Amino acid sequence: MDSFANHGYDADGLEEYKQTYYPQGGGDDMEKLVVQQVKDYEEKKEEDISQSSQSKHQIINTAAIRQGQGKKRKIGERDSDDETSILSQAPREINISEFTKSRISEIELLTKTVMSKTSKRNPRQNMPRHMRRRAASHNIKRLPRRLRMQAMAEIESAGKKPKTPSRYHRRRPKNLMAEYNRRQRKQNWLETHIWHAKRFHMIEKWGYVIPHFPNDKSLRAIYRATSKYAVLQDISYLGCIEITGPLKDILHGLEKLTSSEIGPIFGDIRYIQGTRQGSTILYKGGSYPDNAIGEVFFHWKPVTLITSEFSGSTTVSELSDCSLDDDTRTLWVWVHPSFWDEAFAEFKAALKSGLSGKDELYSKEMKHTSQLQQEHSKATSSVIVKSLKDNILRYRLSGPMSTSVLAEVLKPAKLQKENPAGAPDDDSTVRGVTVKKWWQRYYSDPKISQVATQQEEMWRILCGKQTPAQAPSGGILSLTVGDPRILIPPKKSVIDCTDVESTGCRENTVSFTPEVSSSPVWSQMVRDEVKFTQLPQSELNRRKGNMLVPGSTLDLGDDESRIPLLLVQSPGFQRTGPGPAQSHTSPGFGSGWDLILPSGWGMAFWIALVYQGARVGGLRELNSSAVDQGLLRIPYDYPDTQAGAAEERKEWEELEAKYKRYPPAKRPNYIKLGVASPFSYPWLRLVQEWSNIKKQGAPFIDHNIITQDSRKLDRCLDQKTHTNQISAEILEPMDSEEIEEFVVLRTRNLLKYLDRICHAASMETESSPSNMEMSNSDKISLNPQTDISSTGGIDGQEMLLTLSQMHNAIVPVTLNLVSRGAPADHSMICIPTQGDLDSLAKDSRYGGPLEQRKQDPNSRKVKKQKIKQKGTQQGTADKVKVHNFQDTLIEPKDVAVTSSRVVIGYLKTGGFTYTSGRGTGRGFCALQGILHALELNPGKDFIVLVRSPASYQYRFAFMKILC
Amino acid sequence: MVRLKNRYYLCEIIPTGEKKQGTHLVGGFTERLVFKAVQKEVQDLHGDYGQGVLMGSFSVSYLNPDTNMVMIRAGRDYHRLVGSALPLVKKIGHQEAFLRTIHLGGTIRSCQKFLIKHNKQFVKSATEGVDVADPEVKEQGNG
Repeated sequence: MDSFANHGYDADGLEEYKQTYYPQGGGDDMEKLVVQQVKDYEEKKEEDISQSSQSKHQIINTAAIRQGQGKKRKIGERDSDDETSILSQAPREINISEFTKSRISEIELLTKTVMSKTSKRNPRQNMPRHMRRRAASHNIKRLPRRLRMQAMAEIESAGKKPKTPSRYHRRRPKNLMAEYNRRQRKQNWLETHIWHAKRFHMIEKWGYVIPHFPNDKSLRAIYRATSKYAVLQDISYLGCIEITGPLKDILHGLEKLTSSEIGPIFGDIRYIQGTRQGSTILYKGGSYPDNAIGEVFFHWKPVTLITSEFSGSTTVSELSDCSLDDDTRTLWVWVHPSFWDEAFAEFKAALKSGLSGKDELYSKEMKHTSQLQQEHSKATSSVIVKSLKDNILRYRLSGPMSTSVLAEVLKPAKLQKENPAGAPDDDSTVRGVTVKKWWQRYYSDPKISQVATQQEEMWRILCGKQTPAQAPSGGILSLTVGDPRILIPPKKSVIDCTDVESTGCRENTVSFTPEVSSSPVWSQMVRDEVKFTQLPQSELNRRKGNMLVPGSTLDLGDDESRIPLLLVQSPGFQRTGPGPAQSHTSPGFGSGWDLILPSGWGMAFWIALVYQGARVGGLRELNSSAVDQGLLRIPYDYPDTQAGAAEERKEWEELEAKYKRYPPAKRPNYIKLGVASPFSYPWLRLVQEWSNIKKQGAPFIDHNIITQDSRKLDRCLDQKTHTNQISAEILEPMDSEEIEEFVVLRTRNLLKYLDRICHAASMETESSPSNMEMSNSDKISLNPQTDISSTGGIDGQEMLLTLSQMHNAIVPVTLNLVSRGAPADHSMICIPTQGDLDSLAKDSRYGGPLEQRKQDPNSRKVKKQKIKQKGTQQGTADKVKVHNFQDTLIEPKDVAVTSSRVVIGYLKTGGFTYTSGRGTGRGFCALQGILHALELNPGKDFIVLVRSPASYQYRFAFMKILC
Repeated sequence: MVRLKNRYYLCEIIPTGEKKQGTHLVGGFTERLVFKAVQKEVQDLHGDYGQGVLMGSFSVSYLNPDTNMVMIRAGRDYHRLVGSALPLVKKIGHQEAFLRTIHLGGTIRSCQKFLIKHNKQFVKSATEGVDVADPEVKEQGNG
């Protein structure tokens, strides 16, 4: 604007502007000029038809120019007299539209450059120095508005997090609770979570955050505690399912989910009374032996005369759970969270179909199965499946001192009415406001209080026993105890073993009656009341502080909570059969009690137990002690279940990822080691191959065994292996019925039979590895007799036939190493050759044969490539290739015959065990493989070879069928 | 912080020579040609001294062949030497033209800003006087 003014070009009109800068020629030329211009434009118009509108514009413009020129003509004439020569040289025309357009494009261009950031500096830094504000980095509104957008984008791209509030703020109770609730949204927490999180490595598993292993001490400490003191574990993640209904209907429905072949089931006589806890394996409705779901624990609510009377009485009509017909029973099933949903759905489906004619009512109830609020009419006798997940806690105590520890914590509560002096006698509900407490109502009946005395007496007797193993196996004892917080010692203490009085030791056999097992904990009402009437810790502390004599026991009288709970005995290690395997573990190892509590009382009991010196273990300890006790770990040792397969899959992925993180030189070459599946368990493939071998009659191994030179044998076998593979491949397509699913053999009598024929000889002469050589000769001679006598003749033959026809079965086994070595997880269980067994017989300290190193076809390529690299000094592209060569271990093709000893199975877990003081392992073998091995070396201690995946060394191990 | 300070002359090249066949506007100026032309005038006016003092900073930093706008840089201390030479330029390359100084700025950015303003002014005046305006042109001009 200014410049225009300065130079005298007011923006009056275009004409003037033009006239000044592009002075036209004389008036004579004017007409010509205009005509020419128009012509020119029309030419151009023809050229760019597309820009028709524009050319129109141009014409109009030229008309305007013409008018203007007309106005200014006089001036032009005047000028032309003086400067004709100059004007004649001046440009004759101007394309105003182009002229404008070029300026517009310039504007655009310049605007872009002016607006764009010239430097990489923050918009705040681009501010003039006097306008810079340090505070602008905190408060964006300190910046001028035109820069705010830029600055916002800057902050967003930097991804700055909002400042975390101070620790003081975060630790305030309200905020802390909010934070805890937020963290529990995805995963459930156990009640003892905070306690554990401070002391344990926590893992997220099965929808819970579970303590994995303690930070302070390792497995040995836990072993010591298990064998000498007590180990405490929180297994509240086991979810409880309550099934209520007519006994017939329940049993009929549950029949489809299990099979009596695998052992005693829900309706078994020893469990139906409700005095014992049982365990069984669930299968998908009616599909036994396929589609296993997992192992569950269960116990029935005991039926006693007194209980039914109590429930019938009018005073407790609100305790609706109790008020049922005589025929109506309640069952609690404890389900592991890894397959809880599956099992719950299966229960619902099975028990629904078990009812005919009541489906409508049932489904109506199913709709609002909103867990606990479920109501049902008393009139119907339908079966109700209710989830009590996270509603009942379960702690496990194991070890010889666990009874003593419990005895210190569980003091039977006073259940009789207390009549403090001055208070009216027979009326504890004097003031209309106060309601009778649950225990006052429940134990008002003299018969029930008599039961309570019985329970107390039984508990006293049990406390006198040396170990919990002396209590009835799986027995359930009910107790109603006082607040455990009152009796917590001021300091963590350890009970002296010698202090335990052995009063009840005389009576060796104690049996539980239904009265002893009946408990109010079965009632939802009672559980809720117990939970919500808990005295707050602060109140308890206040009363403790008010005591006249500090440190004396607090007497709360009627205010003290009475907590009903169940104690379930777990028998620990039980020697199930003959054979040297696991013979070192003492019977009753790991026996203890499971404590079943109403929720809300978790921490109170937990702290009390810990203060009595119980060592706390996590999931790792739970698993290792399960192995020691000869129990199957849920869900790891159930490979045919979905949960078990998922665990295997996860383990596989983790191990393989870890393996791949190492450079090739720093990790074992499993091709050279001849290991088909170092990370996974190819059960299906194993079973398929063994079935093929069996169908071929398996001639190859037998022939080789006769040639006993081990070196030769290895080579021979290698060749044979190759031929066998080829023939197997040929056979496969012809095989019309290829096995598609494997199952774990769980049929009790078949397993027992198998175990018996495995140890046919050792049954007669309890042989140990030291006198093995001597007993060998006996065994051979005894063999035919034992075989017939122990297996029961024709029955045995039938069983053998059944077993030999189960091509898709795997069998759980335990290995106990003969002398040296501790197998790693994923070790292979192999059949020894006759030569191996002979060398062992000659020298009992013989360590075991060595595997031949295999050729890795890739390693040659790698070498070649390396030489090439050295020669040509090539870049990194080739290096990457070299690295990839060994990464091809996925999906093994041949698993049984990868090495010189034929693989029959794999160890799920292995290592050194403190109980037996030597290497042990737990795994699964193909049934056909076991039978084959038995054919090869009959009548001996069943000895197999075991080899860790990263080793060439085979070790001898006694094998035992887990049943 | 010390920096070399400059002055920028924003000029419009106004060709005066004869129209060449087939073109509407006389043009074809390059930065090099403009520089040479101005440099020659400086040489004529101020001699070797003028050349010498301007040597480090003297250059043509922007030239738009469409609009014939040119930006000439000179060191701040001696920019008057260039300023005095600019009106005397009569020929650029072989083309007769003179330079009309429209702005003197301290930075390229300020000159660019001025140029935007200047062009907007022109476009506004160019479109205002006309009844029928290409909406496209108008929009752009206003923007």
